[in-house]
Amino acid sequence: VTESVLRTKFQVPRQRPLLVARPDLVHKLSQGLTGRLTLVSAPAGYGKTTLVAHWVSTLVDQTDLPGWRLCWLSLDQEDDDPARFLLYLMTALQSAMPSVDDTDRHELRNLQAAGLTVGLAYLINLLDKMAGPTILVIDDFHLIAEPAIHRGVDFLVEHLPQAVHVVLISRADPPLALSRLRARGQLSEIRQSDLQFSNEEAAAFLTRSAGLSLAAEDASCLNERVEGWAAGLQLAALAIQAQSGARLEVGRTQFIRSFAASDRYIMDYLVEEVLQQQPDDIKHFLLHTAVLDRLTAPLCAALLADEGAAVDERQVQHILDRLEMANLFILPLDNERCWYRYHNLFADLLRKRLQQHRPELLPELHGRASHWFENHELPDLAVNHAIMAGDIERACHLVDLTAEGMMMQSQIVTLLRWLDNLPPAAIQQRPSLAATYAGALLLQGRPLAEVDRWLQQTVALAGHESRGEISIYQALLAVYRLDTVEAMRLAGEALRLLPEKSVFLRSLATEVKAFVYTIEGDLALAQQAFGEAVEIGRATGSLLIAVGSLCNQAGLLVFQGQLHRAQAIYEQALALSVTQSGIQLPIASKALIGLGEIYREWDELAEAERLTRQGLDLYLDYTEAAVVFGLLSLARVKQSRGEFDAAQQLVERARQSAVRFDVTELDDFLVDCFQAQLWLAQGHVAAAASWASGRSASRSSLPAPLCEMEDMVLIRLHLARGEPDKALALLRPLVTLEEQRAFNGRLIKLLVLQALAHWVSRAPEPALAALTRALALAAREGFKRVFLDEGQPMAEMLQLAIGQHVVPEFTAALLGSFARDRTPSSEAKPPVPAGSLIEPLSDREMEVLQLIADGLSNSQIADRLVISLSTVKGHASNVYRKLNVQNRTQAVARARALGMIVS
Amino acid sequence: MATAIPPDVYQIEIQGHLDESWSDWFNGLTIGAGTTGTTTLTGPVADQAALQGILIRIWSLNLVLLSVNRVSLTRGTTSDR
Repeated sequence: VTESVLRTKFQVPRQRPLLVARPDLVHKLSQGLTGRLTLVSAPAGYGKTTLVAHWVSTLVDQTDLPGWRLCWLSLDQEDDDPARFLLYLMTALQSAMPSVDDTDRHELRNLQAAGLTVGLAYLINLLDKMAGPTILVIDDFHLIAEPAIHRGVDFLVEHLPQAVHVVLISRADPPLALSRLRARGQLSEIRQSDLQFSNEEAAAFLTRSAGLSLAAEDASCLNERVEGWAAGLQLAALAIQAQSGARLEVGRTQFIRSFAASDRYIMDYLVEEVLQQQPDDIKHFLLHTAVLDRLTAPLCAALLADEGAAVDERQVQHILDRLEMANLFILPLDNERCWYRYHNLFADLLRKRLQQHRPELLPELHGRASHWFENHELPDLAVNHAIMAGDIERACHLVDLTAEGMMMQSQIVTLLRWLDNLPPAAIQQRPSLAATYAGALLLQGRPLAEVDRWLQQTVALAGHESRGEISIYQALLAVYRLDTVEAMRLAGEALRLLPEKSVFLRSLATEVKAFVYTIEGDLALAQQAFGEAVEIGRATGSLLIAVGSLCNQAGLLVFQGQLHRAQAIYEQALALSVTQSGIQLPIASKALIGLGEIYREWDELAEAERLTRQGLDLYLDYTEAAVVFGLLSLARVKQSRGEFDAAQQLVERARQSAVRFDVTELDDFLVDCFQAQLWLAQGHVAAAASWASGRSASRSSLPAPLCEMEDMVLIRLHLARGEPDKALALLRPLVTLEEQRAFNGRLIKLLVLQALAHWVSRAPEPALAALTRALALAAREGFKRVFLDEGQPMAEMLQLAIGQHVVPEFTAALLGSFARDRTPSSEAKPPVPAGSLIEPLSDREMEVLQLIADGLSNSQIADRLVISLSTVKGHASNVYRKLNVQNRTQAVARARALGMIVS
Repeated sequence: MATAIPPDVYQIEIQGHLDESWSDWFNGLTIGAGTTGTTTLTGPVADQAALQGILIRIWSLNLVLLSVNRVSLTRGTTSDR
């Protein structure tokens, strides 16, 4: 059942033969295909869907035209949720892309969790690669009220591949950037005045739909009364048919005259006429099923059952057939005559009659519908009807059952809409539901204080029930506040209490633990916890979790100073984030930006900038917080390149993003620290000093990791002010801490600062001692920028060091880099030193390189190694990057020069 | 939390004649005949969201909306739109 009702969303509504040919409108629609968007906007009952369905069928039938592919999506009220909208849009568009493979399909599902824009970006990418001429029709778009979806559709239309055209059918103009499209001539519109029938069309319509051959003036009279409104005409035709009597012609004319003379609401007038003439079983059926948005015989039978006496489904199907045949109120949704829906306008009228005549039936009917949907695995419709029935207990029970699944699919908006419709006291009575509410508020980005208040009330009322569910959200809250001790305790508690099947909640708890271990320097445990998260991601097929956790592992290795191992893991994450059709998932940005930071440290600044920019492009508006990190990474690269103005501009952009993202203050903090550091690098000591005096007040409440970060900037401030003793005092505990944690990457930075502090206080011996330690730690993994970014004083110290034969080869290389930094013409990339590669090729890359040298094409290589073409391309581009070349010819030449391949 | 301020009273005018049976459908607003073939819906409306809900119902029945006025000034702010 679930599938059959879902399928109807993606089918073009079944066609009656078009009653009135409307060649002008069909032509206008076809003309619109040169633009990006067609908007069909008019109130209910003007025949919008019928027109568009007819038009697309003519297009698809034209065999002499290059085949248009057609994607249709009929929206329902429940689809006003970004995650669900994305899911259905993806499903609808898949028929346009027959070559989409299982990986893509799988990723499309995964991407639901990453947010609408990310999913749309991926989808646009896929369409760009795979779709031929395609028309996407979205019907009943007025049911969408979520601003996020409107933004998403704007984004989609703006970035649409040339071959794809969108048609929106709506009862009202949607809040999209229509005027911009209009100004560019990319919007085509069909509006109420286009759809209104002329008198001739109305006459034709009445003849064809009801076999009524009316006198021309009678037809015109009717049409003028309904103002060309198709639904009104259709109902009028039914009412006229229902007029019995011997002198038919006279009766008709009389009816039309009195109808035209009346100023009563058209629908009231006509529906009564029509309903009066119906047999009792039909009247009974209409009244009892009016609460349904969609009808199918078994469901209707459940609603019609009288005092427990079952109703024969075949009889119900017979009624549905009669209604359809008589063109009475219902529209078939599929070719199997399984699902129908009421025409929206008539449904409203029937419901109003039900409310007026039998209000006591309403809760009973909604309740029956809710049970039927629950038994047929349509939980969200079951919830909606339970809420309409006013059965709070049942609604709570149903929401509770589906909550984790909804969370996993990011259908937070729907979940919140349900919960907001339930009385808070009822939610509080079910601790797991109350925990879900808190989780949904948190994931939706509501203020932390509100979430906290809600959780505290829940804990107070819950006792020991549902502790696991409550703990995990409390743990997340603690992480946002960087209260690591509490986060750890709660995550541990959650993992102890949550059942194994709660995969989603358990993966959240695992990530919390890994995060805390990282901050506390318990690296083995952190690596283990991230490893577990990678496994959960792989086991559940969620690349988002797997790739994200790999990147976290790599980030840890960077802290520990293991740049090459970190690089290998980032590459692994990158490889995992490319689907077989060669499209990169947005989550790859995390790996790209991480790699960029490593290349920056290696002083390969052009490559660092390329990777970071590529990562930022993928982020789009992934989340504001993530963009902040990416922008600051790029600013750091620019700073290393000596482009301070560009760095400053990026910091400004990062600040704007940080201000917009309100869930945590962490991003604002990072921007402030970076800004102060950038001022100091340019000698703006006063500005940095005013930042520092603003900070000291809030310092006591700052979590330890942020204190350390702030201290790094304060140390530089002391150095700039000529207060090396204060700098050294701050440095001492930090050095001890990183020695204990074996965070060598950070230790190198601290030792460099220590050396500078001693140097400033004219104590060359301890300066050299600190520098020697730093150089020894840095040489093996090739840390360079940490020295180079310090400028002139560092150059002087290095000259002293080389005189004393301290780590001589590495020191000499650093001094060489200093010399290049000073030469303005050093923009060209330094060639890779012969005989060695900074980044070794993997075995597979060596294999691919050898086959390239043997003259095989990429597809021949794919055949030979039994891997996909896109994987070969991926390997090849890694080879080019590592060899620092642009194409295969250069790659072979460079590899020969380095003695890497046999020729 | 509850405030003593009574909700605003609104009067909505639509084209055509609607009978009293629609009252429940429009949140209990009083339905009356307006001037020359129009209908007025009058009564207390809880807040702007409720007003929006009523307007949507008018629109989904394809009724022609002529005017919306706030007729009580309990909040003491400026009048209608």
